[in-house]
Order: sequence, then structure tokens, then C-alpha cells
Amino acid sequence: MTQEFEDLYDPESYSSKSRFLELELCKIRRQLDSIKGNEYSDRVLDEYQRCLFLLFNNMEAKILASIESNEPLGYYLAEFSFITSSIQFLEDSVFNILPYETVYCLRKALRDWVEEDLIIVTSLNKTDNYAFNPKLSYRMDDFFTTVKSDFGVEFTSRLLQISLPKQDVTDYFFSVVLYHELAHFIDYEKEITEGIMEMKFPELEGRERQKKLNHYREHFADLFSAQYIHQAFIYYLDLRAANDGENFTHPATYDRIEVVNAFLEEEDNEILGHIQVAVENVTKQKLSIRHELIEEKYQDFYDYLPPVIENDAQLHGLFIAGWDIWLNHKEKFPEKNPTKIYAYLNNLIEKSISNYMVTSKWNANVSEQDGN
Amino acid sequence: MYLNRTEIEELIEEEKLIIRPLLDAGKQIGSVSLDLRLGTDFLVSFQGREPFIDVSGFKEDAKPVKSFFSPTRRKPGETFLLHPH
Repeated sequence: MTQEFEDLYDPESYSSKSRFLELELCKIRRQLDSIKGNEYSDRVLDEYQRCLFLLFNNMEAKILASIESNEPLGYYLAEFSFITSSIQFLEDSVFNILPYETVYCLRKALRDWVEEDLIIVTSLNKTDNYAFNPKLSYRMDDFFTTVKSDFGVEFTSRLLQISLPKQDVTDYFFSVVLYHELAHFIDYEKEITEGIMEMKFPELEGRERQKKLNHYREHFADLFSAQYIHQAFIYYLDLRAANDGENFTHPATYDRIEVVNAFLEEEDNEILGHIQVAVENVTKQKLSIRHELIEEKYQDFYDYLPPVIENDAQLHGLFIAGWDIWLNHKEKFPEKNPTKIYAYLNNLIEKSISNYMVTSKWNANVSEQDGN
Repeated sequence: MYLNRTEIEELIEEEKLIIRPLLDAGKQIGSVSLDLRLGTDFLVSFQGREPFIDVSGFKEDAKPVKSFFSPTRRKPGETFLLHPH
């Protein structure tokens, strides 16, 4: 750094701080401008975006007023981070991009466990990774209270962020992972596995406790997903991590499969037992089978017809059907090219979910009109 | 050849004609007609450099048909404008 530059640049000086803040404001303003006019699948997202703009405008006005009057500056790091994270997830949740059908199924599962109408938003990444990001949904009450008192903006919904690979948006085989990721949110929210640690392993501390907790978190997420998609997540696991032993963050794949199979076959298993007790303590309900196998509708797939789904349990059953047909009945398709069969299955599952959504909405409107 | 309402209903009943979803058969099936509803997925064509879309399948280096279109979605009941070319 030259002497001349050092004279100009003093990170502690008021003028440097204010310029940093102005730069940050410009950057966020540009990001916000890029999401203006976005079309979302859910009106609640429009309201969320409106609040985001209002929060930024009020913050900007406050900061600029402070700079003008030479008052001490706040950095508002949490607010800046909240706005930029929200923008990222809103950008990838516009109606044209959002994996709408998958999110519809996840929302059904979410409502079995959480009364609040959280909005599932997605971020599309360029890796192979699926992940739940707790940043905008977990323990936000204090933050929202501060935002309301400091800037007069009231957010009425939380965003539940799920990140998935861009190339898998319309893949109904690999997106079964999202049921597992959803489970992590429910676990964080309800503190189910934390409860197990207190109840069963109070003596554990530090790294040893964290490892045990991590493993229970994964077992819970596996079991949660098995309620809705049977062994479909296990198929995925088998494909990606068949021979993985245990490590700090994950139990051995073999053990994970054993726990899920015990649940599906209603057998005794110590880990399953611990989780069931903890789930019941917190939610007053047990993990149970919430899917319906739809083998009697498989012929529709072979005839290239989207099966007619009659209830939510069958809706989740579509994901199981995709894997089951691919693994065990693929030869029943008249088409023999695997790439085409893969495309047909994905298209038919998507169409089936979409038809169920449209039909449910139509029937609800008809009932409403009849009621009037 | 025209099919009347009874014949259309029979074909649907026998699953020789399959429409999914058929939201309101009473209104969609007319005396000699069947009204179909648009879905929610559309392909909008680009104004590209090529003078035409080659769908013959004979040329190995022909651009894939899907590269001439951009997919877009609408919510049920939302409008979709077909702009003139």
C-alpha cells in the first residue's frame, strides 16, 4: 500500500465507513432491482418481496440520514445478509424456474408437522448437492421483532430454503432427497434429536456429543422421508453412498438402511425407538406410513398415461413408483431405450402431480360455489 | 364423420378415448364436440437467425428443435398471450 493511499484509506475513519455502507447499499439496490417484476407461484412471496423492498428503503433512508448528519453509523450486517439471502432464493423461486410439482408434494408433508404456512423456496446450484439452509427459517422471531421495531416492517412468513442441483429440477428420482432435507428443517424447528441427546445421552459432551447428534439427525431425516416415500431415499443412498462407513457427520449407510427397514417392517430397533419417543413427546404424533403404493396404476405408465392420483398418500407414492418401475419393471415399457424411459417416467410423474393439483383446485372451487 | 355426445361419453367410459384431467365432462362435452383445456406449460419460439426449423431429422448437424423455443409456465386460469410473428 502506498503512503498516499494509506493517507486516504483509514478503515476506522467516518468517511471510509460511510463509503463502505454506501457501496453495500448500491450493491443490494442493484440486486433488488433485478427481482422487480418477478412472477411467483405463491402470492405470499409477492408480499414477502414487498416487505423486503420496504425494509431496504427504510434502512437506506436511515443510513443516508445518519451520514448526512454525521451521526454514528450502524453496520446492519444481519439485515444486509438477510436481504441478500432472500434475494437469492426469490430469484430461483419464480414460477418458470421453481420445481413447482415437487414443492407442492413437500408442502403437503410439511403441513402434517408444522401449522405455520411456511413458504418453500429453492435455490438452484451447479453441484450435485441437496441441502436445507436454515438461515431464513430457523429461530427468526428475534430478528423479525428487531426489524419491526427498528424499521417498521412486519414479515408475516418465513422462507424455508432448499437448495438443489439445477440439472435435477425436473428429476423425480433424485428429488426424493428433498423429503430428507425437509426433515432436517422439522428436526431443527422441533428440536427432536436435541431432545434425544438430553433424554438418552446427557453424559456426552463436546465432539462426541455432536457426532451422536449428527447421526441421530440423519436417522431421523431418513425415517421421516420413509413415511412418505418408502425406500426411495434408500435407493438414492445406495446409489451414492453404498459402502460409506460412519464419519463425524453421517452414520454408516448400512446402519441407516437397517433403521429405515425396521421402521417399514415394523420391527424393533433401538435408534428407531428413541426417535419415535422423542417425536411423540414433541409433536404428539408418531412417525407412520403416510404413503400409498400405487402398483395397480403402473399400467398407465406403460401406456404413456399420467396415472390419476386420488389422495395425498398416492401423491407421495408417485415418487416410489418411479424408482420401483425403473428398478424392477422397466422392461414392461414398449420403448426399450433407457434414456427415453427415464424421460417418460419423469414427464408422467410430473404430469400426474400437476393434474392432481389442478383437479384439487377445481374441485375446491366447485365445492365453494356449491356452498354459496 | 362426427361423434355425438353419447358416442363421446361411451368412448371415454370404455377408455378408448382418454383425457386427463377431464375436469367437467358435463360442460366440456357438447352435442358433437369436446372442449379441451390448455395446460400450464408453453413453449415460446425465439426470433432466431435460422430461416426455418428443420424437423426432418436427416441432418446430423441440425440444431435440436428445442433450441428454437423457451419454456414458460402459467398458473391455472392465468392468461397467456400469443404474440404475432
